[in-house]
Order: sequence, then structure tokens, then C-alpha cells
Amino acid sequence: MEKIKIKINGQEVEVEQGKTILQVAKELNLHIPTLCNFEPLLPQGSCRICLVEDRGKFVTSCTTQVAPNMDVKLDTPDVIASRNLILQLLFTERNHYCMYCEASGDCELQKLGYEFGLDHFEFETYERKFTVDNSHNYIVIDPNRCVLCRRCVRACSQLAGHNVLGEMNRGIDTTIIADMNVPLGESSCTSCGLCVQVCPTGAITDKRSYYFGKDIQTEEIYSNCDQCPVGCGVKIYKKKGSNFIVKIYGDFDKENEGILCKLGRYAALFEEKSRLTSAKIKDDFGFKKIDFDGIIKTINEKMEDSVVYVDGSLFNEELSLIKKVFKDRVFSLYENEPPIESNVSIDDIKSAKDYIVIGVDLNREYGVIGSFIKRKIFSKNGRLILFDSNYNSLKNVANYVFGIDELESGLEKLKDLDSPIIIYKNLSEKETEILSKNKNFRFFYLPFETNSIGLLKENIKHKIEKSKNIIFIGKNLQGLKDIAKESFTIVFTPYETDEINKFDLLIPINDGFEREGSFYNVDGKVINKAKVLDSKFETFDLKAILEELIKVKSL
Amino acid sequence: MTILTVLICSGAACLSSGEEAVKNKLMTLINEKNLQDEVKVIETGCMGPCQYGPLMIVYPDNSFYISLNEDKIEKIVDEHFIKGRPVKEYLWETPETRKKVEEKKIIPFFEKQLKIVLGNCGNIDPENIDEYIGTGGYEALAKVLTEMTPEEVIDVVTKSGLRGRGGAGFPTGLKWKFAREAKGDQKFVICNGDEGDPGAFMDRSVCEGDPHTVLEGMAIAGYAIGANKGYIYIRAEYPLSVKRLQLALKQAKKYGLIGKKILETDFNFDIDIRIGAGAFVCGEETALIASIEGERGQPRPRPPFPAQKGLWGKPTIINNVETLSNIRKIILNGPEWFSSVGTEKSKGTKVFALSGKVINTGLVEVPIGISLREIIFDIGGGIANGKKFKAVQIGGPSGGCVSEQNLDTPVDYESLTSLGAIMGSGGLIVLDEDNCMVDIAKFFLEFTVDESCGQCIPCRVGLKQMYNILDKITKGKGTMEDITRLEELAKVVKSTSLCALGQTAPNPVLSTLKYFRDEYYEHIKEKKCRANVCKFDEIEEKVIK
Ligand SMILES: Cc1cc2nc3c(=O)[nH]c(=O)nc-3n(C[C@H](O)[C@H](O)[C@H](O)COP(=O)(O)O)c2cc1C
Ligand code: SF4
Ligand code: SF4
Ligand code: SF4
Ligand code: FES
Repeated sequence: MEKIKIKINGQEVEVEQGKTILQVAKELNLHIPTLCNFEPLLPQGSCRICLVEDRGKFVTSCTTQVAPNMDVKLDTPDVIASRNLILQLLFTERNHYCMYCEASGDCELQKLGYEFGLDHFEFETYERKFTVDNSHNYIVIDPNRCVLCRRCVRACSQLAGHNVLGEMNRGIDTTIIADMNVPLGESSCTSCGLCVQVCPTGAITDKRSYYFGKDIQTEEIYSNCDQCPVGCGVKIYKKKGSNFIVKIYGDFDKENEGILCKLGRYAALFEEKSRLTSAKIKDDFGFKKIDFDGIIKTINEKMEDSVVYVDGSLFNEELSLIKKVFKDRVFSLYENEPPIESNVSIDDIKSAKDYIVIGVDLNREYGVIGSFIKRKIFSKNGRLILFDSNYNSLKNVANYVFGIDELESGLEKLKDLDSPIIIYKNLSEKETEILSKNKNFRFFYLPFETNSIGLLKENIKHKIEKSKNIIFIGKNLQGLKDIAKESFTIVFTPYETDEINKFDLLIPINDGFEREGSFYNVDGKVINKAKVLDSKFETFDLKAILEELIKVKSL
Repeated sequence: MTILTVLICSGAACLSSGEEAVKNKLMTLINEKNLQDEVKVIETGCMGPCQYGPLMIVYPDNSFYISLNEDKIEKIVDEHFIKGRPVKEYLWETPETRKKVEEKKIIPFFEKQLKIVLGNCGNIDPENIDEYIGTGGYEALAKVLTEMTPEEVIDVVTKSGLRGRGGAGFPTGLKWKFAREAKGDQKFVICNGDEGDPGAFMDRSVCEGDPHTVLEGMAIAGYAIGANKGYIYIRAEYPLSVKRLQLALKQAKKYGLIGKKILETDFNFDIDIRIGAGAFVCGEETALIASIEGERGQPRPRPPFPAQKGLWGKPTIINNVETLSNIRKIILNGPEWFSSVGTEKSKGTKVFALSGKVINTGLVEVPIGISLREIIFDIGGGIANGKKFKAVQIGGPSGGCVSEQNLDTPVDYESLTSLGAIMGSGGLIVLDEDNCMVDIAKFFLEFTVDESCGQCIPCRVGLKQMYNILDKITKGKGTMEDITRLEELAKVVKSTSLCALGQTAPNPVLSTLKYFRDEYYEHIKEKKCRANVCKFDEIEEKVIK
């Protein structure tokens, strides 16, 4: 970028053309207060707090790009007085009595209030009551605290691509609404929660974190979501000195650009399945508890005559230990090889124009991939072609919708596609054949499980083999009961399920935020997950057991 | 052989005062009396003096009939059409002499006007392209396409000194130059026909009375900047404008004057009509662009200006209906002809919607530089009902009030601004001694409070707080600090709002504070409203006793 010279506060500085005054000021460590601006979102210039003076005229620094001959003054008395008055006005517009607000302490408006030393209401505060929308499972919208910065609206459309939020009415009656003014809980909201994260005030809040603690009482832990193989970057707010998480935010510096989906932001915090709380072994009278040594002893006895099944919930470190102990007797319980290998990455998804989605509802799974595609569709920079059954919610967004069995005829009709990216989970042989014929198609495979790719890297493939003893390690027990009928079955798993009592040795392992490790994401990159919490139950660290087995064996 | 030509005004104001019935009666009578061959009837766009509608002009003798009804028509047909004797008592009467004027030309309402933009309005059948062509229509387009380069066109427009009539008065030639120089594979021309000012109907009159002049101006603009697509943005409340523009577009396309390969040249220019939902702020150029793009109609920060990044991010010029209607005459008559009218910095004419307490209300087109006094007292005929003049509010809801002492100021962009008013889109409301100036300020502010898009804090909240203070004062509850506070707020709203709505909305308050401060003080200190408009509550202490 070309450099130009401008003056800031009387000092000549060299700045990069194309940047805004706010951006260059930040680089020079000069503070300008802001409210509506939020860096990954396009600037809107509506709050007017960031105004500065350029040659006698006020300009908003968040929207104004530097230009030759600028003579910018950041805090003239006029600038400060104007910002002050604007802030005064804002405080009187709606209910900003901080002590009753969940955001108090973390609120950007409140911080501005302190910065400008506001200690009383300069104008009449007027009592206008808006209805609070509490219809959503995770999110509360309270228009009484809204400053109408529209960060939520911009985040919902520009970043997350869901286009749910918008505005209604004009002037002081303006409110943020979902869809055509329906309660959020009944709207097309996918619960990605980005609006909560970007809202500067207490107008959009996260129910789950109410009363759990302010940001200052938490420590921030950067990690990645392991709910699916996209592996989004997250920032986990853990209450200091406690064993719980207040909230999970998206990491704006990672590939997911701060966006998460419902699974990563909320589902990960709501433990809905009941946990297997201690290790137990079946004998003629039922289950009885077993300790660490007992577990090691039993496995050691059964090991010779056993096969091991795993699923894609295991991390690379765990898989490599499993391979070390059980060698080539380790199989994937589920199909884990891609019908067609990926040849593009998440970055390519972000920049492509045409997308063909086959048989996945990207509003429900791999949600952030859905965001990347949907935002291109809504901004009319991309087209989405969907092949799936009727319940796929993408059909409301897609430019073309075909039935899952219309692949051949559908593709016939679409002749002008621009190197489309095909997005799929599983494909039939016929579908694979049809797609492989097209030379200009690009492929993006969505693995079934978080670390399906890690299994392949360890050369663990899907295969069913009978054996006297079966060891299963993982979360998804569905495929197990049919093959385990005649065998002594050892299960390492975090959850207590109905069918689990059919098996013989049950070993509860750490789960979710109790576990650390790495996995391969959709792009084949290694992604790390941090340990944040301690288990509340008598669960075991899988790696500790495996390491002990190695030790015992080599003795 | 046609002996008489009858022009009957079918502008929206006349339509609403019963033109339809009058015209039907006229047609029936003509048929009954077998006058079809002798009398030709043409429905025209707005003729101007709307308050006297329905209106009718009979040529060749130029008789101007006003306030028509079915009975009067019957008499006019019998007396004038058959016997050749104009019916004097139905003709225009001058207020000063109380004399009926027999010829339209010498009516004072028309005498001081200079019709460049409205030249055809009221004189041709707007639904017939041939009539427009008959007055030299589309000759300018032909001239630029065959004899001029785009740069030459821009040069002529620049030299003419034409400035935007949509409010800001930005030099039109310069705007076109920026758009011409901006890089872009596609460019657009937008005609701003939103006209959201209450009481304004100049653009509507042009669209209804002379729609082709707008199309021709747009096509020339398109040629000049290198655009091949234009949009006319017009409000849904103007169905007749929409209808006439649509019809004109159809005819122009049929004649090869709009569309592909215009006049057999390589120039293509297509026009689409977009109907707006009618929010005042949608007339602001960036909000209008957002609205055409299908977004919520709210302003965007400038820069980037539309000429650099406009509709769908492409270089776009956006011009007002009246601005574009000047173009063809500038091309045909030359820039010197145009710039011979006006003041040093403001050239040409301006159309105003004259209303309020004057005798003659309606649409007037005057040379820029004329004094307010001439508009009000000569064209407007002075104050109605023998009352005393108090102020004139110019420039629409964000305009300012000008008092008696400044009535001789020449009307142009700069001098109006220096008086605390604006040219705006051309609203001109005359106020007399029965108007309370605090109440007037409150009235206009109420409009802008309602119409603020609600994006930026100073406009959204600041105007509301200003309104609250005015409301207090008009109820006799104001304090002297309120005046300081009003001025403080006004200053910040003006200097910090995102778009010109907020930047100009305090004008009515500031200008009344400037010229009529006494009235504010009276309300506050003496609980008195000299115009008897504000009703003060009983002093509370009395009640308590
Ligand atoms: C609140 C607001 C309303 C406006 N409404 C109109 C309008 O109705 N018609 C119009 O031509 N310009 C209107 N304008 C001015 C336009 O933004 C723009 O300046 C104009 O269309 C440019 O055309 P011109 O250069 O030919 O005047 C409005 C501006 C503001 C701030
Ligand atoms: S809800 Fe929050 S983010 Fe959205 S406009 Fe209001 S204050 Fe801004
Ligand atoms: S897309 Fe996948 S990785 Fe990202 S937040 Fe959702 S579940 Fe987690
Ligand atoms: S000045 Fe008023 S109308 Fe203009 S953007 Fe701001 S709030 Fe909207
Ligand atoms: S931060 Fe720049 S206008 Fe709001």
C-alpha cells in the first residue's frame, strides 16, 4: 500500500493509504473512543462518538480514510464537548440505569460514561418501555438497553450470513427485530450467538451466563471447538478459581472469524446426556465398582484375544497410544473414508462463487461452513444449489433446490457454473461417479466425526471383525451392540446410555472441556483443544490408562 | 378545422378539486353541440396557481378560466365557444385592481415568472410524445449524440453554472465530471423524484406535465458519464407521475429514443422506474441508493460519494428531477443563455411551491436572484385577509424562517444559507401575525423527529430532546436555560449528524431564535403567546391555594 503524509495532533506522520483515521490512530497508540464500530464488520459511522476534527470539519474516524493534506486533531475542546453531549443524549434515550443490567461491568457504553466522567443525566430521561423478547432458548433481547449501533444486525448478515436480525420503525421508535418482527425463538435464528458477542451493551445477552460473573472475574482461555471437524477457534471465559465456564465466544483471529454455531457456543455448555460416573465391571450379580489397578489387570488379561474399535471422537495423542498398545487390531467402528477426497480448503469456500451442497443441512451441522456460504448468497456474491430432501433448512436460502435423487438431471440444467465447490458428507456410488466426471468441479468433504481424518492418518479403517474380546473407545456406541453380543466387551466412554449395561467392563473417561488433545480439521490442519475444567466424577484420563498398559506390557 | 384549443389542467391538485367532472361535462357538451371539429381539448400537467383549480386556458385568445365547475362550463361553452364572447366573471381577477384579466400573459402571477423547467407544463399534452417533440423535444439528445463528445457535454453543463435543485446546490457539471472520471465497468444515472418535503410538488408537476424532459435529461446525463442504465426513483404517493412516466418511457422506447442504439448511434440507455415507500429520508441520495438495492432506506456515510461508489458500488450520479429538466434547454440554447439568468454563483431558475398566508398559492418558477419580496408580494399577491406579514419559511422542513428585514435579499443558495435558511427543494411557506414562531419551530421539528432514520445519535435523540424543550416552552414551562440548551443541542446536531437531514433539521429552531427571540422570551418569562396559538396551563400555584 502506498504511504502518504498527514498530520495528526499537529505531528506529521506517514500512514498507509486505504486505512481509516481510526486504524492509523490505533497503530500510533492514540486513543479514539468508539461505539458502533467493530473491526471485522464494515464501518457504519452511526454513533458519531469517534468524531475528530479535520481542517475545521468533523469527520467520523471509523469511516473516513486518510487522504493527503489531512490535518487531524483528535481531541479539540469542540470534539470533546460534542462527544460528551452525544453520550449524554444516548444515556437518556433508553434505560441505562446500570445497576439493574446484566452487562454492567462489561458494557462499552458504561465504559464510555466513565471515560467522559458522566455523573448525572443532563437531559430528561424518557420512559419508553419496549417489550423484552425472552422467547429464545439461549438469547434475550432487551430493546430498552439498545443503543441501535446495529453491530448485531451487521454481524448476523455480514459475518454469520444468517440475515435474521434487522430493524423496524424509524427515529426513536427504531428497534432491532428478528425476521419480519417475530419473537427470536420463533425466527430463523440458528442460535449462532454472534449477536450476543458483538453487542456492546446489555441489549442482547446470553441467558446461560446470567449472574455467573463479569469478564474481569474470568480468565480467558483460547482453544478450539471439537464438536465437529471444522474446529473453530474459541475464547473460553472460565470463572477464576472455580470449575465452571461462564461463556464461550468465537475467536476473531482464527479461520472462523469469530463465528461459531449453536453447537460450539451453546450445546458444548449444556451437558444434556448423563455421565457415566464411575468404572464398573459385570459379574454374576450385576455391576460392581472397579479401581484403576483392577481395570489395568482385566484389560491386560483380555488383550491377546481382542480387537479394538474406536470412533472419530478421539484425539491424535489418544489414537497414537492406542495404536502403540493394540497395533493393527484397531479399527474404526464406522465408515470413515471420503467418497471423494477434498481438494479445496475453508479459504477456497470463502472465496468461491458457486456451491453445490448435497445431503447436509449446514444450518444444523458444520454451521460455520454454512455461514461462509450463506453470507455470499445473501450479498448476491454467490449461488447455492441444494440437492437434498425437503427438510433441509437451506432450501429457504438456496438459489436452486433439487431432490436428492435428481443429481444427474439437476446438474444437466445448470450449465453456467463457475468452478463450483461440491460439499458433501456421504455419497452413493452412483453420485460419486456422476460428480467425478466433471472436470471443473472442486470438492470439499465434510467428515462424519471430529477426528475422522486423524483415524485415517493412523491408518485406522472401518472393518468389522469377530473376536473373543472387544474393546470400544469412543462416544458413539450405536454400531456396537450387534457385533458385541458374544464377546466380553470393554467400553471406554463418557456417557451413561440405555444399552451400556449390556457390556461387561465400563470405564468412564473425561469429556469435553476436561480433555486436551489435538485433531485434524476439515483442511487437514492440526487443531489443539485445551483442558479447561476438572471432571466432577470419578472419570479417567484415557491416556493415563493407555500409558499404564504400555508400562505393564513392557515389564 | 380547429378554431379553439382548450388546455385543461390535470395536475394532481386540479384533479382533486374536481377536474374530472369538469372535463367530462365539457366533453359531453362538445359532443352534444357538435363542436368536435372546432374545439380541441388537451389535458395538461400543472399550470401553477393550484388554489384556483380546476383551471382552463382557451387559445387563441388566451383566456384563463379559474375555479371551474360544471355550471360554469355550460355557460362557457354557450357563450365563449359558440358565441365567441369570453365569460368575464369566471376569469382570473387581480387582487389589487379587482379586475378580471382577460389574457393569461399579463396576469401578475405569471408576469414575473420565467419558465425554463415548467415551460411545457400546462401547455402540452404530457401523454403525447409528438407534442413534446413538437416543442423541440429530444433535439438536445440528438445533438449530443451526433455532434458532441461526452466531455463537451459536461463542459457545457459546467459552464452553464447549473447547480443541483434537490437541495444541496452541488454544481451539476462537476458531479458529472467526477462520475465520468471514476473507474467502473458499469455506471448509473438516478433521477431523484422522491420529493418527500410536505407540501412540495414541483418534481411531481414536471413528471406529470412534461415527463419526456426528465427522460431526455437522464439520457444526456448517461451519455455524458458513460452510463447505460438509469433509474427513476419516485414515491408511491404519486400515481399520476408514475403513470405518465411509464407511458412516456413506452413511447420513447417505441420511437428509439430510449433503449438500444438510440437514434441509430452506438449509445444504449435504458431506464427503470422504482417506486419508493415514501419515507422522507429516502430522498437522501445514499438512502435512496440503499433503497434501490433492496436494503433498508437509510443514509450511508460519505465519502465515498455516489459518483465514486454508488448503486451496487458502481459510479453513480444522482440528480433531482428539476435539475435534469434544465439539461435539454442548456444544450439547445447554450450555457451562456442559461447563465445569463441568475446571480453570480447561482444560475437559472428555481421552482417554488408557494403556500401559506399569501393570496395566490401554487407552483412558481422564478429567476434565481429575485427577491423574496417579489415572490411574496408580486407573484403571491401579498398577504391574505389583510393580515400583517411575519416571516417566510424556506427550504422545506429543514429550512429556516426569514423575517421582514431580509425580504429584499436575492434568493440564491449562498444568501439563503447565510440567513439561516436553505434553498432546499423549494418549499416557501408564508407566515402572518397569527403564526407563533415557537410553535412553527416545534411543528417542523416534529416532522424531522418523526422522519429521522434513527441511525445516528445526535439526530435521533438530539432532535427529540430539542422537541421536548420546545414543547415545554409552548406550554409555558420553559426556562431561560432551555434556550442555552436548545442552542447547544442545535449546534451539535448540525455539526455531528451523519446525513443532511440531521445536519439541517435544527434550522427552523436556530432561525427563529435568531429573528424572533423575543417571542421565545415572552413564552418563558411572561407566559404569553402574541399570536395566541400556545395555550398555557393554569399556573399551578393557584390551583394548590
Ligand atoms: C433528508 C433528505 C431528503 C432529501 N430529499 C430529496 C428529494 O426528495 N429529492 C431530491 O432531489 N433530493 C433530495 N435530497 C437531496 C439528495 O440527497 C441529493 O443531494 C440530490 O438528489 C442530488 O441531486 P441534485 O444535485 O440534482 O440536487 C434530500 C436530502 C436529504 C438529506
Ligand atoms: S442489540 Fe446490541 S448490538 Fe444490536 S443494535 Fe442494540 S446495542 Fe447494538
Ligand atoms: S462449526 Fe463445528 S467447530 Fe465450528 S462452532 Fe460449530 S460445531 Fe464447533
Ligand atoms: S442524520 Fe438523522 S436521518 Fe441522517 S443518518 Fe442520522 S439519524 Fe438518519
Ligand atoms: S464508532 Fe465511528 S461512528 Fe460509531
